[in-house]
Amino acid sequence: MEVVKTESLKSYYILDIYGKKRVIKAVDEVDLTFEENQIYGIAGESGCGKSTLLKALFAAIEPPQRIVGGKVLYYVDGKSYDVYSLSEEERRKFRWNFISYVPQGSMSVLNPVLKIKDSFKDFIESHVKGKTKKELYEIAKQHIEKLGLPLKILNAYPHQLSGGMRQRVTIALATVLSPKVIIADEPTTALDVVTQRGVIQLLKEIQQASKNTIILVTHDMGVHANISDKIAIMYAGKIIEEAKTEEIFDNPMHPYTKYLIHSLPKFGDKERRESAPGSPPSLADLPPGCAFHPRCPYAFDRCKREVPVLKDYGRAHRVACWLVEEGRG
Amino acid sequence: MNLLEVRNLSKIYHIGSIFSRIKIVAVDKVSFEIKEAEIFTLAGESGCGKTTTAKIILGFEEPTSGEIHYRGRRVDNLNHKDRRELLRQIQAVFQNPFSTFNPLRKVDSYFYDTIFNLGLADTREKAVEIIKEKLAAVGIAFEEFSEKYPSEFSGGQLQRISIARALLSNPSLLVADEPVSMVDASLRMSIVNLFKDLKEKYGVSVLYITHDLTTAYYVSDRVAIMFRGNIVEIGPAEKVLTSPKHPYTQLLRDSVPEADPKKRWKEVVKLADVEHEEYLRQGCKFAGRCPKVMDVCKKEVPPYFDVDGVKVMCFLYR
Ligand SMILES: Nc1ncnc2c1ncn2[C@@H]1O[C@H](COP(=O)(O)OP(=O)(O)OP(=O)(O)O)[C@@H](O)[C@H]1O
Ligand SMILES: Nc1ncnc2c1ncn2[C@@H]1O[C@H](COP(=O)(O)OP(=O)(O)OP(=O)(O)O)[C@@H](O)[C@H]1O
Ligand code: SF4
Ligand SMILES: [Mg+2]
Ligand SMILES: [Mg+2]
Repeated sequence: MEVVKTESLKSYYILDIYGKKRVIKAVDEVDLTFEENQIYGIAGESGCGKSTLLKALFAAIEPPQRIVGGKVLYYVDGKSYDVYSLSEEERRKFRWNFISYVPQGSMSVLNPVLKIKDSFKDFIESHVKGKTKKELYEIAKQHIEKLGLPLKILNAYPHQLSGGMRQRVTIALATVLSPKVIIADEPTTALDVVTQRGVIQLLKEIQQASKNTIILVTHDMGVHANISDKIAIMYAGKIIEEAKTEEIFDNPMHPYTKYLIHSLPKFGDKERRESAPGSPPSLADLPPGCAFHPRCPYAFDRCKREVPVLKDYGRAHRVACWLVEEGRG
Repeated sequence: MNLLEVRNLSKIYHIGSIFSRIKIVAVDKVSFEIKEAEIFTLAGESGCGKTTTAKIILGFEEPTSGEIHYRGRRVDNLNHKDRRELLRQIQAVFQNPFSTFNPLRKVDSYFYDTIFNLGLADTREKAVEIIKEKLAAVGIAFEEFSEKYPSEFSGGQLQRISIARALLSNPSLLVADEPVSMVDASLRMSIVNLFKDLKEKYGVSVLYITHDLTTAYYVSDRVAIMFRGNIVEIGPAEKVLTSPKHPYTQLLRDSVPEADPKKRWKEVVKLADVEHEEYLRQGCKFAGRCPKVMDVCKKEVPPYFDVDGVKVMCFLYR
């Protein structure tokens, strides 16, 4: 069953630089459906709009980011809500209860001058009314225990925790109100692989225990291979490919995804690997047709004129590429 | 002769309030050398002292003890003028290219400033010539680069540009602290391939600090693995990363997620809870988490043992 859905979502940054308007099309015509009980991975080139998409899903956007078109739908208790047609007050009720968000670079989410237990207390208090201080601490304690984290961290200050523990505490905080959907933006980027594994393990345990949905953005294709059920690849503000994890790795169809998968180095193989040629386009000045065409070795005439549409080619494998559409691939 | 030699380097930080001060040995008797035209990787746990080591090499931090030698000459105690001279030879590349450049300043202005400050050219024409040459080395066209602000480049382009800037003074050593951690897999390869080319074509050495062990394997000649301030294993990349000896290196290597959905992790890892506990441990700092721990590990600090051309700080190889 779906829990969150986007329909032709467009979210742009609209800037005014010395009176000149600049429009950065960071999320453009995105149609995605996130299901219950699923870890949904999103990968793509640096700066292609992944964080922008997550902020739009969480419905907490700040200028210069705007929703320019399309919808974000939440499915709560059998009813659907068109989030951006609601008032800010109504939207706020969903935040953290229904959908929660661990932002990129979130090491700083915890208040540095508060003990962890007080960060928890303040956070729960601002969403659940009418509890005593003792009850609030108790909720925090039970949650930490349930996640298998050591209780002594509640009495620590953020700087006393290791980077990996701090990140797990942030995740604990984001999940204390049992949200149905958890958005995590690069939750392990600054961490070593052992610590990364601990953090990923925690996310997976939370997901398995409560059968909710995790939307995970990371550059690390190894992490996606390890825990994502389904993966979307983003390029220049658009979803260019989406499929089950095994399918993406075994049978990537979009030329960009092929580069992405085949450029990954492996232990025991030092043979030179090439990345996609050229550079990503500016989101303020996209090339016509397929945004990948200037870098694509297979590009043909149609690619330069028409924007390819995301289409299902069977086995729930969706691709936006004319090469695939015309069966030339 | 070695290009760079780090000998018994230590750095101690004191943290906490006046009542309870904790001593953190961020870098603990670290020794290694980097040869001419060599890519040397420093990898290991988050917070194990990699950045501190890099900062000391660059002269941004003072070591508590130990020495650094560059081309046979001691350089950790230089005066201001000699240090500036040295920093032509040793250049830094940082993690986030967007914080390297001021968003309100055109990127090329940094290049002209560096060239004129270091006296590398005396006319604008000569400066342009140098810039063109360095940009070519990183695969960026001069026309694409001129008169632009940082926001007009992608992260990968900007990282290449910051490498080109580091190359202006013809350094022999690049100190690159997590230069690829913010970029996607495809750009990562373009940056590490660039290091490879710089080494092969221009004889530049690189101290590559990273959490990404597969790219480390791909580009480096030798690797050192750090844990809580110590180098616990050091040797050829091929050996250290394909048949790791130290139990921490083995755990690290096992935790690299494979880009293959058929090989998912099964067992669960145990992590340290509180940052400082392991720093305060007697004996081997990994003893609390080591699956092969012995009595001696909890009492004595292991020395280095030579195993098959690799140095390992672990009693298993006694
Ligand atoms: N506040 C902002 N104002 C203007 N432009 C912005 C802003 N935030 C992001 N952008 C631009 O929007 C585009 C998409 O950014 P976004 O952060 O969504 O990328 P991303 O895919 O998350 O990248 P990364 O992998 O580096 O985290 C980029 O070109 C970026 O420069
Ligand atoms: N200025 C400082 N004062 C006190 N402690 C410090 C200072 N700088 C670093 N430390 C501590 O020294 C230790 C080593 O830090 P360092 O930044 O060198 O680690 P690192 O290996 O670069 O980690 P990462 O992989 O997270 O970048 C850490 O415990 C850190 O908290
Ligand atoms: S649509 Fe054309 S240019 Fe775009 S990826 Fe497919 S083949 Fe390449
Ligand atoms: Mg992002
Ligand atoms: Mg560091």
